[in-house]
Amino acid sequence: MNDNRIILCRCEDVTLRDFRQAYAEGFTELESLKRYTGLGTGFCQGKGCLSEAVLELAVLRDADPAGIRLTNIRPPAEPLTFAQLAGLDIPEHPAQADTGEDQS
Amino acid sequence: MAQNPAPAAGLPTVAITFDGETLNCRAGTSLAVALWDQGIRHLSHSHKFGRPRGVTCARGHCTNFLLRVDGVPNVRSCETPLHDGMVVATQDTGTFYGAPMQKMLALGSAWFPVGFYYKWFTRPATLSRFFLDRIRPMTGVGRLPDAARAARALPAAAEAAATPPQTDLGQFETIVVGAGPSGLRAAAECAGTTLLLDDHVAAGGQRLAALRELASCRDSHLGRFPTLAAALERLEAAVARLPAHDNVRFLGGARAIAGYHPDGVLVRRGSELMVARFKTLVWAAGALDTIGLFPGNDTPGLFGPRALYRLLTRDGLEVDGKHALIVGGGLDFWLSAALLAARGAAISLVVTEGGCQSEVAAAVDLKWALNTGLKLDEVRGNGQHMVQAVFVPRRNAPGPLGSHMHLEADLAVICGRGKPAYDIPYQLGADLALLPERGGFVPRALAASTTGDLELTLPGGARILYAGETLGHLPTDQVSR
Repeated sequence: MNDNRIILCRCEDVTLRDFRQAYAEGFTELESLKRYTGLGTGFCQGKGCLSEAVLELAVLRDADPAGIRLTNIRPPAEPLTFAQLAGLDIPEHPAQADTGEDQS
Repeated sequence: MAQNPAPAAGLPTVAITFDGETLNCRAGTSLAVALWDQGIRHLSHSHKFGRPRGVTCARGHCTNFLLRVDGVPNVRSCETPLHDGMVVATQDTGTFYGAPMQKMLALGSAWFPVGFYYKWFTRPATLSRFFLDRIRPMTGVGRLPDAARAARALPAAAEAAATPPQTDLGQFETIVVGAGPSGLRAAAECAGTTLLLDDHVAAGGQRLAALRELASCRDSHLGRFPTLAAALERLEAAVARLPAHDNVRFLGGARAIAGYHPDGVLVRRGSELMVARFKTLVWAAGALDTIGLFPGNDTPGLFGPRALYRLLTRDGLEVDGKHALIVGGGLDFWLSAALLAARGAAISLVVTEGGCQSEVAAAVDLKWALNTGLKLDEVRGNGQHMVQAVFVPRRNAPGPLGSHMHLEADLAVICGRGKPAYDIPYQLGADLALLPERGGFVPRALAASTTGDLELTLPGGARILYAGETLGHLPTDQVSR
């Protein structure tokens, strides 16, 4: 089967061959594969490709997919405009008033 | 809600401009469907290989349906209603060097392996700068919204300047994301203040609109498909119970698009954003379509069943006289088939999963074109209008050419099992793992659980309750529950 015509990530145009080649080049963690190929970084934020990529990675590693560490999926899950965010009127949260730490 | 396809004459039309050409479109559809009706399926080209792309998910997720509308870039064409005088433009020919360069880049892309930008043109430093200055603009640099339309381009900012909008929904005991069967069941069991969200305008889930539409068609053959009739009955009963609960506030056309630690949810309705807080989040957002991995899996004209329901019921996609190919199995397969047939499409079915004997018998009885024992091998686009699917016999190794089967259609529906929605719980701190038997990302704790619903306590003390298809496929077929 021609894996160069199988699109894994539509947003960033990553084919299955690209993914396999990146793995062969030594990018064996999902996080580094994401950075190297651009997979899951597009408009859909991985909704279309992340589970397919983890399944493929499990095949390449010959390992259980449940053991593969996910990449961070940061909010929001959809692209927004700055104007939309600027229009938000967010009240102070009682539990959050004292914490300024970043959870990333 | 469900609207019947408009006959060609006697209905209002709107005139829009698409890349400088004036089109008269049927009113009341979304921009993407209006363009589809006009024979325009290729809304963009993928940015590395230049492959044609069109609407796929019909719910504002996928990347290739973005258009420049009234001077505003990156508008989701499948969510945008038509209006008279709309000016629409494709936005993928915008490289700094123009469209011919884009074509050349697409042709040459096959020689650029993955990650080339980390390896090539990096040394020596002086040459690297020379190349970067020329390569960077090739990808296109985007265009800001037109100045004259800035007020419309930035509605939230304009409104914020005039009157501060009410964007704080407040604190709820429970927020239920998804008003499908599981979400409705969970909301009915809530005692405290409850916010029920669904990205459909009406409650009932992804299949109810399709089932209602099917029931309203003259030749629905609903009687021949008891599973569909039973699903419709169950969903209608669940929706009918909703008004009895005064503590539940239903917000239609709205979806949770972000979860903020420890207990905040960001909600989008159209271009409007709202925040809400919860003590318990019921995650009943259902499943997303899976098209699967095969050559040509990005061909315009390929849909999942959930996208099809939206296009047919919400946007009134015209399929009368069109040829539709339906591949897969399960409830969505038969619902898609029955709905397309009832709406006047000529359908070809390829059943790739076992079971469903009574439905197969009904299809044979109805003289629907039906094939079994095949596996989808490849899909090719055939110009703007057709998709061509190639099948090989299942089980056996691909044999000689004669054993392949080619089917051509205007659109193809791939009814996979769907993958559970997962992003908001992850953002709130849930520990997820990919369990293949569940079809996607679900809480890791589920591997050890055999019961139906699952409850998680988040690091901040809030709770998430998983319900329905977000738990993935269940051992028994409870999809229509």
